[in-house]
Amino acid sequence: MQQSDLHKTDERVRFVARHYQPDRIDSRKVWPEMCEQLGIFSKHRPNHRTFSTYWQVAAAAALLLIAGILYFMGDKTEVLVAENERSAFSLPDQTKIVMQRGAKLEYDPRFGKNERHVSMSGEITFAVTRDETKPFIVSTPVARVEVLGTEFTVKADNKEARLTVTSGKVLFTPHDPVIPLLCDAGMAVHYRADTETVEVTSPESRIAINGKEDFLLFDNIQLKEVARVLSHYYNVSIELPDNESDIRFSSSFTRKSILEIINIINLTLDTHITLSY
Amino acid sequence: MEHDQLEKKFSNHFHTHYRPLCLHALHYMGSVEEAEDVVQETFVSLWDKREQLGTIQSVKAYLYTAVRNNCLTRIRDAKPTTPIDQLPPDELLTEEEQAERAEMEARIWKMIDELPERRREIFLMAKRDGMSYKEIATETGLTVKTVENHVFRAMQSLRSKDFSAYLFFFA
Repeated sequence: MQQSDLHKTDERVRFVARHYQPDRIDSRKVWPEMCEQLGIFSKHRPNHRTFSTYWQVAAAAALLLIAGILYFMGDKTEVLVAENERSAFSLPDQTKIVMQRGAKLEYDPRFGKNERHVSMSGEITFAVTRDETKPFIVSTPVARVEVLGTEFTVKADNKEARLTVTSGKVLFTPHDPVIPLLCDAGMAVHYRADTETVEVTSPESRIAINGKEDFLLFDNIQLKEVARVLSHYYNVSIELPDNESDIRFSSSFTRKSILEIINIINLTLDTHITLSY
Repeated sequence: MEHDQLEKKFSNHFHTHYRPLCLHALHYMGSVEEAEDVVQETFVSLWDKREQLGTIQSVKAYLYTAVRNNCLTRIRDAKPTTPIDQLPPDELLTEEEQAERAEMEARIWKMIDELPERRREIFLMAKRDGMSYKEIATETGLTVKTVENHVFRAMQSLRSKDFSAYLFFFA
């Protein structure tokens, strides 16, 4: 690089640093509000939402309302803490849970209108009653698990989250890097927040992600899933021809740019993946 | 175009260009909140014209121009008497150069976003506050070497992840 380019880079870094605010300017976080505004069905469900001033009037009105409701039901949040070895409970939607000693579960007993939301820590097995219209969402301190109806176990604390799926499909999303991972029966996920490592394993396949080391591993993974992980990891849109989406791929990458990775995949499998900017 | 396809196209444009466009707008507005406002407004009006989405030759060029115009309109409306020579001096860059700058700054923003908290703090002290490594060391109780290491690694993550892509597309 030439001297003037270096200077330019530094100038830009300083400009961005001067204005930087965490959790702002993130399309994924703004998208749900955007969809509401435009009447589009939102396909992204971020972990937390940021409002810009554009929404503040609406938000302020909503907030008054929410504050009222919260005040009204402030002490109505149900909190379950397992004091015994294996404690079984039934939630209002007939979902059965088994909690290991010390596990904690919080929920609003009336559940939300559009989703069934619980927060937890410790180890809990869920057999979720199927309801396609209301996804069942489990928040842990470092990740989020979303299902329709299925059986699975979550073990979570402030540093890590583990998930094993017994039946059905589960969407597991670590807080950082934000990559929604679709897990089938027989699959297990282990996420560590401090090292930003995610591991998804099944008897015949494996995905490993290490955000700190910038390392990605795919072992016998369908290309559509590979593309999904890459697009979230690098925050880009990736196009993949339909007839190539089921091809399976195995390889690992350390500190590679998204372009290098796509080139490698296309060269090895003779596929036609493209990056759309 | 079918409705589903339109939504997908629109969503792709939104996710691809939202952050760079915000950085583009930031050069005019000087505040992140206002920049995000303008860009969201621009996308809302793009959605209103969605039936023409297929006929716009370069949606990207369209978006950059629209955001710029919306920024200038806002500045003018807020302060109708701003003399022309006090408008932000960015007009020296061509539109293409502005887009290029915005895309690179978007990557820098993302890089800062993804830094571990401690490293981010130190990085911002150096680049935002212009503190020397020695000053940061005194403030944080770390050694100068450690501070240097944090800033160096932060800059390195900028290069390793996105810089080669940046060079490939825009160099």
